[in-house]
Order: sequence, then structure tokens, then C-alpha cells
Amino acid sequence: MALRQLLSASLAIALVMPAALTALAEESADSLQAQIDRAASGETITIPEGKYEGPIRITKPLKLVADGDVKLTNPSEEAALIIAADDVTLQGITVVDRRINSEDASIIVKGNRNLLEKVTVDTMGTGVQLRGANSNTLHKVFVIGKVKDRGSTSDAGHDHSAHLSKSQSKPKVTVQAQKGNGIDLYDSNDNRLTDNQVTNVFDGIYLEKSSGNQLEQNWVEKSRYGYHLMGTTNTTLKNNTGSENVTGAMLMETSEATVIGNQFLKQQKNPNSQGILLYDVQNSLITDNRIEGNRVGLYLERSTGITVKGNQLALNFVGMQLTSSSQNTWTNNQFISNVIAAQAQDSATDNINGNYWDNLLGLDVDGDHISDLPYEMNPFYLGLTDAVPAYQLFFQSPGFVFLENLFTNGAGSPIRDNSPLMPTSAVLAADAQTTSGWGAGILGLILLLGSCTFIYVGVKKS
Amino acid sequence: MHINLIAKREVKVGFRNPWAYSFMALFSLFSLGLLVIQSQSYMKGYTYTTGTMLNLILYLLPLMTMLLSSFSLTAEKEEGSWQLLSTYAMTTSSFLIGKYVGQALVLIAIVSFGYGISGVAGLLLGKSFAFSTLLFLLVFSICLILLFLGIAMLIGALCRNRWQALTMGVSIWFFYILAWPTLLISLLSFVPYTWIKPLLQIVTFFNPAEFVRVYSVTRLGGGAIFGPEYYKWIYWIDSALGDVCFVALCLLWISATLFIATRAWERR
Repeated sequence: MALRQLLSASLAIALVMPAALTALAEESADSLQAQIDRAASGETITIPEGKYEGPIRITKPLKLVADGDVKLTNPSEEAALIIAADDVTLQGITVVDRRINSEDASIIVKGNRNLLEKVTVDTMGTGVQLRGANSNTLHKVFVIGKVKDRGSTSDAGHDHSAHLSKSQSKPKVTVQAQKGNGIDLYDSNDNRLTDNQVTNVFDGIYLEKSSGNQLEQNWVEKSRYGYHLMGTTNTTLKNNTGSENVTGAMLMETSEATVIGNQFLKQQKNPNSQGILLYDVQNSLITDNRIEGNRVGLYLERSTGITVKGNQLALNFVGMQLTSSSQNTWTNNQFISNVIAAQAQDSATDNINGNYWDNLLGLDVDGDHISDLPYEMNPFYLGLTDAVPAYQLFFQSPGFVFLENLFTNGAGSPIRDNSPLMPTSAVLAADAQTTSGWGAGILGLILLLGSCTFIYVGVKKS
Repeated sequence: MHINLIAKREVKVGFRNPWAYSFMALFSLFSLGLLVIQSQSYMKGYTYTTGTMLNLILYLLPLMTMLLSSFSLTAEKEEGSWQLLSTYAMTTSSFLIGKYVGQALVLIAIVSFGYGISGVAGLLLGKSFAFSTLLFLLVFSICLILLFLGIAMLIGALCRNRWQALTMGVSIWFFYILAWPTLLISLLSFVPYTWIKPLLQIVTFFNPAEFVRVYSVTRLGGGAIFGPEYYKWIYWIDSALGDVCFVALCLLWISATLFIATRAWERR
């Protein structure tokens, strides 16, 4: 314990010393704040190339435009940049913030109709916070989290109750830096977030108690949750990408969300990974998304009135999981080469009709491209592993597949697609993927010749 | 020296056995079947296709291995050649290890022939396996063969004739491959909840089909599907040490079964 305190003390000194030296060398930070204070409302300040120091506070409508490479470092314990005004424009600035475990983000926006454009935030905590801020635009904001993963076991837990209370204070005593969120909205409405990129943070874009926000063409990777909606209404997620996060998009206690045309790829390394997770969500729309290579593509729990339409779920370990939900509509989705296409339980009132399942042995007698045999979803695995999670080890074990079939044969699952689509040429074209097989061919030839020679010699030899 | 001689003899006898060729035909057909499955779908990582392939191989290969090799041992008893061999100064263990090596070579040749045919056929038809997939399937199959060959030696040592060996082989196959989850789920329902996971982990080490499957799925990148319960396990398997331990586990299995087989053989 004493050693740890000693370490942290020496670390603090090591951090403060160079910062103090540069503060002496450069008076420019002070002058930037002074310049801002002097400027009249509505004025444009061009910041020449160079290094500046925070904290900077903007309290009136201004336009701050970087001329060249403007870098704002932050030796203080406050946020590097606070916008506590309306109609502020901030362009082209790079913020480098090395504070750890701070409640305050590197940039805090508390006003309305502000524009942050081409801003790069290099942070050990949260990148940008919007607090009670409405109708702002964040365009091309890049947030790069600098906290390294401690080990693979961190973030493994997925406890709903734990992140419900996430916005409350975190313990500050630990020296270990905790990741913050990329862009964090709380009580903020009607903001537009477009073309932003977030890497290696806690939650990429986090929205809580906010409504009417639009997220378009953003990109979040290598974080915990890509897009995390907590108690929001009327949020639009359009054409965003989530890649290699624990979960691509996490929608909780949310209603009237529109999730359209997004891509959620490769959320599969963590045992709690999903492409999209919906928990306690009402009356929302999930359409035309590409959900590929995730542990579970689309997971729905305790949700009602969701329309899931025209999504492509491919190459996930489990395409969709559906549990304790009611009155959702699933149609026109394509399930391609998932290890298991769908698992469902306790969701008998869901309308799952007219989807394409590539592992269905369909039969189309009347030629209407709809199979006359239904596609049934098996509740057995979900039920069993719900009771005893340890049995997940039997996932796709040959004996388990056998057992599952024993339990469903003839019984007829209540959760089924009564009119699954037959493969059409369009579907097959998307399905076909040719690999050039020279390597395999040569290996095959070697194996074939080798075994033949071996057999010949083995039999012949006396 | 004796091991070498026995192995050579085993290879020779093995390839004169019509059973070997019928299994070779079956496996080639099966391997071509896999080619047809895969040409319709995606092959990288753990997908529907690779999952199905693993399961099909798990159904066929252990049974094939156990029948072919245990028959070869009981044949020695039935045809009296063991009585002849036992007049020479040769230990039981070198006899059984020789049989093991010989049978392993025969079975690997059969499997190689099957995959070889589908590799070449894939090239000719223009819809081929990926190189890595073919190699992966080959290694997976060889692992299964080597592990179940140990069990086959044990069956051969315990049984008096082919009929007994057939019954026992099929029973073990049914127990390990088909009935395994069913039996475990029903048996574990009698133990306290907190014991289930540790017990399940321990017994998995006693089923080669299961631990090879878990290892393969993890190496295909699908380890996360086993859930948070096995996170540390899977992470560990995926590390470099995981490979070493997997090989060690396989060697342990093979030597344990061979050791017990030797004891059983000597007791007869």
C-alpha cells in the first residue's frame, strides 16, 4: 500500500514537472484565454499554429478556427475546454488530455447550437461531454482513448445493474486509469453527430436521458459498447459502423429509436458480445443493417413493438436470440451462414414471418418462393443455459444437437417462421463466395500422392 | 526394434484388410460431401459450415477408428497370431505401441486420401476448400484418430473377439459422441448448483471428442460462444501455452489408454 502511494506520488511529480516547465516557457495559453475574453460576441478568432494550454473557457458566441496544427494540452485538473455558451464554432483543434479518472471530459459543451468540427481529442478519460446541451453539431470529431487494456479479463462482466448506475461517481483512489466514453450526452436533445470516429474507449457514443438525437456515419471501434442508448427517445442511428467492440449497439430502456443502415461487424471476442442488443426497448425500428461476424448478431430481451426488417445477419455464431419479448415483427431478414441462425424462448406473440434462413430445408410446392415448411426456433438451448450457464460448453456439440432434436421433433415450436423465403438468385449471389483453391489443390495432390505411395509401399514390402 | 517390426507388419496387414478400403471409400465420399457443403457457403473462422463439418467428422471418425483398430487387435487373438508372437522375446507394451503406430499410419493414410481427393476435386471443379481449412480439418482429424486409437487399443485388449469389440466400440461411441450432454445434464441435476461447472470442466478432460471440439472451436475464433463461464479457460486455450498444454493433454491421454491396455492385455 505504501509502495503504491509512493509510486503514485512520484508519478504525479513526473507528470507535473515537465508541464510546469512548459507553462513557464509559453505564455500563449494565457493569451489564448485572454484573447477569448477580450473578443466581442460573434467574433472569429484564428488560432495560429502552435501549442497551447488549457483550461480554456468559452462563455460567449465565438468562432475559433485553428490555422494549422493547433494543440491544446491540459496541465490542470479541470476540463481542457469548456463551452458554456450558445452558437460557438470550434474548428480544427487537437486536444491532448492526460488527466486520469476525472469526472469531467476533455471537452464539455453546456450550450446550444454549437458546432465542433474536425476536432481531435486524445484522452485518458471521456472525450466530449454534452450536458443539458441541445441542437449542437459534432462533425468529424475524433476521439482516441489512450488507456491501455489491463488484460483480457477486464470488461468481461456484463451486468445490467452495474451500468445502470454508471453515471454515478467512480472511485478516484485507484491509480489505474479507467476508460471514459468517447462522446457522452446527458440530458441533451436534438443534437447531430456525424462522421465522428471513436477508438478504444469505454462506450463510443453514450446517450442518456436524451431525445431526438441523430447519429449518422459515425465509426466506433475497439471499445466496450459502440453506441449506448440509455433511456432515450427518438434517437436515430443511421449508417454508423461498430467494429470489434464488446457490443456494437446497446439500446436500453429506450423507445422510438430508428436503427437503419448500420454495420456491426466482428463483435465476437468477448463472451458477452453482441452486434445489437435491445433490452427493454419499445416501438423501435431496426432495418437494413448489416450484422456480420458477431458472437450474437441481434439480441432482444423484454422488448415490444420492434420492427426488425431487411437486415442481413451473416457469419455470426448465433444470428439472433430472442427472449421474453412480445409483439415484435421480424420480416425480410436474411440469415446466412450463422452457426445457429436463431434461438428464441418466451416470445410467442412475436410475428416472425417471411425471412430467409439459409439452413432451412425448404419446400416450395406452389412456386411462390415461400417455403411450405416452417422454420422453427428451438427454445431448448436458451432455456437450459438460462438455468445453468455452464452448459454453454455444449454449444453445437454433436450430442447436444442430437438431444435438441429429440426435444423438438413433432412437438412444434411455438416460435417459428411460417412462411420462410426460398433462396432466390439475389440471395444466392450474395451467398456465393469463391476462393482460389490452388493452395488446397496442391495440398490435396500431395496428400493423395503421399497416401497412395504409402499404401503401395506398405502393402508391397515384405 | 520390435515396435518398428510390429508397426511395419501392421501397416501391411492393415492395407490388405478390405475394411480399410471400404472405410477409405466412405471417408472419401464424406470428404467430397463436405466440399459440396462448403462450396455453398463461407469458410473463414467459425461459421455454420465449419461447425457442421466439425460435427460430421466427430460423428464418423471416432467410430471408424475404434472399429477398425480394435478389430485388428482382436483378430490377433482370434487368428492365433498373438500366441505365435508371444513365443518371441517381446514385451506386451512394445507389441501394443507397434500396433498403435501401425494403425495410426493406416488411418492417417485413409484420411489423407479422402481429403486429398476432395482437394484435387475442388481444384478441378473450381470450387475448392481454402488451404487453411483443408489443413485445419486434416489436423483436427488426425487429433481425433490418435486419441480414439488409444481407446481402440483398450477395447481390443479387453475384448475376446470382433463381436465384443463391435459392441463395446459402438457403446463407447454412443456414450462419448451422442449421449454425452444428455447423460451429463441429467446426472449433474443431482449435484449442488455450484458443483456443476467444475464437474463439467473436469469430465470434459475425460472425453477426447469434447476437448478436441472445444479446442478447435476456440482456435477457429469461436471461443466466446461458450459464454462468460469459460472466459478464462478460452482465453488461456487461445494463448501459446494453450497449444503446448493441448498437445500434453493428448499425449497424456494416449499414454494412459495404452498403459491400461497393456495391463489389460497382460491379464488375459
